[in-house]
Amino acid sequence: MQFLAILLGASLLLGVTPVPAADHVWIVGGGPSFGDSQAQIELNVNWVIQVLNSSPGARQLHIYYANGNTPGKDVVLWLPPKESKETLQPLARVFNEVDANGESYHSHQIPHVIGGTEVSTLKPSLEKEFSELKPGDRALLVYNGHGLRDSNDAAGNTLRLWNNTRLSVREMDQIMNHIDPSVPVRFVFTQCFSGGFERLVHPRARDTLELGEANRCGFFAVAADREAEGCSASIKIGDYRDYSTFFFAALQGRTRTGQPIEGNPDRDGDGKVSLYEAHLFALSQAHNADLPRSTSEMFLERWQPWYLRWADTGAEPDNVYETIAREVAKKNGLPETGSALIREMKARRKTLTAALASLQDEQAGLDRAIGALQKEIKNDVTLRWPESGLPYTLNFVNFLKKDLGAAQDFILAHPRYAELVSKQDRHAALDVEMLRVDRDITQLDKILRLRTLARLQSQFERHATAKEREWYGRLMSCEGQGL
Amino acid sequence: MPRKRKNKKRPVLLLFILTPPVIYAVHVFLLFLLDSAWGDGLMLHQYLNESRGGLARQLISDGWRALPVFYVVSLLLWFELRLLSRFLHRRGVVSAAMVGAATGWLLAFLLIGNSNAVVIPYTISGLLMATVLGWVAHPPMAGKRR
Repeated sequence: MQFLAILLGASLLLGVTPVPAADHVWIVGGGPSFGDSQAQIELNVNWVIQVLNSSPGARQLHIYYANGNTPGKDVVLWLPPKESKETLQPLARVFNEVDANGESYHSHQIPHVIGGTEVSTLKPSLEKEFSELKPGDRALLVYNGHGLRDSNDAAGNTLRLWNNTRLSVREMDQIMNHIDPSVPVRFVFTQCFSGGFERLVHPRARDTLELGEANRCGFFAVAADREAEGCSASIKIGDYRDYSTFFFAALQGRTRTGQPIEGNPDRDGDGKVSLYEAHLFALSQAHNADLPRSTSEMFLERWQPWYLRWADTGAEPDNVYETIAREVAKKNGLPETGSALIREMKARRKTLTAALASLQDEQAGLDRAIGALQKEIKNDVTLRWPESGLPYTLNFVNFLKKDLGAAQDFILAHPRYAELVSKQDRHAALDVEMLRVDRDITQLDKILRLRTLARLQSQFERHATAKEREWYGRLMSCEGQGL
Repeated sequence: MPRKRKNKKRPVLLLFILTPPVIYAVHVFLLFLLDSAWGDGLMLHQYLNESRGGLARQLISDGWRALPVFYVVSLLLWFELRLLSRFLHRRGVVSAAMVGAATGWLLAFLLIGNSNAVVIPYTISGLLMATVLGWVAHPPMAGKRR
């Protein structure tokens, strides 16, 4: 005690005051180019910032978004254009530019952005900021954007960063090595193939059960070989609800649109919602095409020994994963347990898979029909106005000035135009229907996965070694922290 | 009429080498049947709806880990059968099969789990392996001659 008082007195005399520990949050977001940097990502990032700022406790935000502070448009918003000559929709329909015709571009509206995400600038910035963390600090990294897969090795999966640059799992591991190993580093990756970033908890991102020295854990929207909801049509549909939408809703207690959330994410009843509980909430509540996972869950999957692999796959142990499996089954109108559930799931999967295949066939047929119709009408248009087929030329400017009205009237009066519109609208509607079916199939996958995790956790309690328990405990302790 | 005795040397070593992998394959097939009939149908699900390559890699990687254990168990069964015939004067394929089933059941019950879905495949694997080994050690013809 006396020693501590002397130490404190000495440090005060010398003017050395201990720097208080702090929470740091890195938000990296946006797409790799203006065309792939959807407004939905911007919307989500702004909401995440709002959640972080409104949550109890102080934290320092480090935000990197798309092109950063460089002038230029880096966000695309798609809205269905009006069916009128003023929006050039007839011309866009015939010249196969319906998607582009609904797009508008703007510069991102993310506050306090430090810089862009181009890998050449992001990497040194992260390395510098990470190296400044000290024992007692906590770090959280949230990535909201797109990703790519390396089919040979999950550690080669990448983040798609601005200007079409990439950052792999291995590179991220090297960047994170600048952090003091005692600092808890949590990460939330929501992109396609994000499960590959689970390797960050293993030494040198290797494919092994052993955990690295660093105190890391994380949450991922999908497996290392699966696309996320954000890569689907929903990014254009407006009904965008990815993993982070539910994860952060649990932490705030409200949805992105401000509605109170359904259910209580605080499963242990301690009055606080941990990141792990937020993840469980997303598992339980999200009706989307994501199949999220945490590092502790992936650890259990890695751990399972060969002699337990396919054994007793009908068991239903009483734990949190089995509870959530029942919740998801109930929400989807399925029996909650037993062989009735499995039977019903098989039957539903059969129906949904057939429905999806039929929708895909229909869309493929429509693709061909639309192409043929466009070709026919385009031929008729370019026969009368050859300039219309020469974009990026003065001819085209003259066409727009002089003949646009007449050409669009011609298109509208064309005997095949109504058929083209009908087929294109059906094609777009099929995107929505396929997404709905995909989401329904994902719920079945989720129930199976949750039941597997329930068995894994039960097997782990019985069969794991002391070292394996220590590793698992480390991950759970890291995931169990709050914001 | 005196029976002509064939001096046929069975490829015992080859059987010792081949039996564990074959029994492991049967074991996996049993797991597949149990999983499909009474479990969640995970193997079929992975084959039909997820990565077939992933399933194949999983089976191969599990096989590499399982085979040494199956070889060790085959040795254990061999010694059990030898002891049985030496001290209890019980020999023959039926006795061997019973010993194998009991050993498989006991090992699964003690080391893995006590549910039927866990114990059954190991019991059947033990039974099959011991049957083969019993046949190698004490062929039925030899029993009849005595």
